[in-house]
Amino acid sequence: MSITLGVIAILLAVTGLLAFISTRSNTLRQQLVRRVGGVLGLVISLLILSRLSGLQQAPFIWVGIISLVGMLTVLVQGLNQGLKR
Amino acid sequence: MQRDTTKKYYVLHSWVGALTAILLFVIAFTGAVSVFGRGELKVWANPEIRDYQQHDFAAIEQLVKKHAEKVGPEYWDHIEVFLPGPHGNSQLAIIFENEIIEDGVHRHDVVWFDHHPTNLSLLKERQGDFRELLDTRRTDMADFIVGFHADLHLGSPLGLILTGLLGLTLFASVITGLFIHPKILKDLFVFRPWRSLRLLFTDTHKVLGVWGLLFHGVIGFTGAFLGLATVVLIPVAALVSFEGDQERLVETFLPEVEPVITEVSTDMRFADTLSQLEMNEPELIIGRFTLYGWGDEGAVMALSTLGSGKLSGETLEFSAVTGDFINRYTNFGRLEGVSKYVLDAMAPLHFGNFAGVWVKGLWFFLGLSTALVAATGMMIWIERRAFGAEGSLSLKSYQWISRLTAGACGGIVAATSSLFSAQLILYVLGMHYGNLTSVIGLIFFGVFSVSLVWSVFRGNAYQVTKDLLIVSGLLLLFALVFNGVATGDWIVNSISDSRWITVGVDIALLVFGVGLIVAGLYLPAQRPQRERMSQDKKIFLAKEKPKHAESEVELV
Repeated sequence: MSITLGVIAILLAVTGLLAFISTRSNTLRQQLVRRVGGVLGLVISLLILSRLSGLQQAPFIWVGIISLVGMLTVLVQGLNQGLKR
Repeated sequence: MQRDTTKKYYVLHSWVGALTAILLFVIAFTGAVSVFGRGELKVWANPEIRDYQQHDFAAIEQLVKKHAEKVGPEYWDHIEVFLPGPHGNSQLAIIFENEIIEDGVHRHDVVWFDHHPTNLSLLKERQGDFRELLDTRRTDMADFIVGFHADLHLGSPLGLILTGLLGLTLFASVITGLFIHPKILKDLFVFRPWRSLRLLFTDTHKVLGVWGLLFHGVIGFTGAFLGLATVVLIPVAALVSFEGDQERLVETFLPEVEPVITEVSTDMRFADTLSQLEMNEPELIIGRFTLYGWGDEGAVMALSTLGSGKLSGETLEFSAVTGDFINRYTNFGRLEGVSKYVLDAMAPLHFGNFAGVWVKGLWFFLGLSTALVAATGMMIWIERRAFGAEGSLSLKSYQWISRLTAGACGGIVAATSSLFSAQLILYVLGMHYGNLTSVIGLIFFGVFSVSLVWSVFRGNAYQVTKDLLIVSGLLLLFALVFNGVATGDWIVNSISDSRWITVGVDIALLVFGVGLIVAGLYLPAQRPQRERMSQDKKIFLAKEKPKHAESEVELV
């Protein structure tokens, strides 16, 4: 049961992420469904993983770390490239 | 059709953003600082608890017994004990409550004893209505900033409704932002700070917005819930199902601990249980405990704890006589269905207080990014109207908006920075035992107002931002030095005395103080002219030239 739920959660996370970042051109409604659905998929998979792991905080901490590290990396890299020029 | 709809969402995103950006910056910035309000800032603001080590439960038990005898059985309905120390309280508070229900109205008559956190001497004894006494309790800069973030000190319901609605607008901006940016993957990695000012603002807005998307959405949603739950959701639900009796509604879904009263009187012994628990689960933080059925063999002690490995805090129930374990549940853990998980997650996800100081740090920086998203959004709005094709007002009007935005955003940073020194000055003057909300508020709003006035008379928004960053940095460094002079807690001394919370706050004051001054010195004193012209030329080729573009000389 746990393994099945774990696999579903990971699939949901991957498809959610793909749906979210996809740049395929389509109608606005499809785009809306894809993005909101993607975010929902990610959130639901996080909740499932947190329940399964017994470490309820862990997925939220990881999301926080990825967000912060991502934004800092891009900002620092951009500033650095500009300085080199 | 699709283009029109996207444009509508863009207009909605930009106008909702523009109308709420300054307030959102204020709430998000103070929210980021408030992450450390219950704990780290509390300890720093109250030098008496900086080296607080552990609770003397035996002494606390004796105090509770002494006061219980004094106040008499009518005040034994609930006995609440707020423990002093790094996790929330600046002193030991023991509160005896007599709940009276008259014509369906609940009144909480209490006798309140405040004790010194370390030597446990009695500081104050008060009697009266719980809410009225709550308003006169000892407060400090940490309470002030947390309260300001919660309701802007406008109180309930106005302040809570306002901050709740702001949470909703943040959430709405996140949703509309999701589909007005078609190339969201590209937005994750593009940052071109040196090309033009407008690109600097736009790219910063997108990078911070997209990377922090889940965080901003969660903060907006949980903020809206926490703001509106007590002033809209609960009253409406109580009106529909409980004839307006809100306490009955809350007690129906979250029943109070009901001890099985045996009518057999006995001696209360809870100190050993607490000491044992602290030894067995050292990571558990006990903030307060409540005693029900005092004096009876069936008396129960309910502990409110954090740090148990769960997202939400937990309540632990023990017999207050034998110390036998009774029950353990999260705040909403007794509800049915999925709602308990969602409700349990609301406050911890908003405040980031669910996994120690490092997660608090993470939430602090992500909170700052929410504030920066609001500020850069406002700058984009101004830039596009003052120097692009979207503006309908005169250039001067946009300059005013620009200066006021800089004054308000920089002003809130300066006002928050001033709180550290203000708290220590009040400590030196011996005024720190009372309710400091009014005095601290005077200083906080004074600095904020002066910043706004300064922004009106200063040359331009860049100069205003520069000035306020430098002033904020100086205020933080002054607080650091003044702390050393007033309390003797220089960083070196704090390290040698293992006062790690004080060390952490002092280092933060030093780093942010120097950082703000350097940023202030580095910023240009006016809008970069050459970049603006070249960029504007490109835009003018593609779009209609704005009316005021001919006459604009410089954004001063």
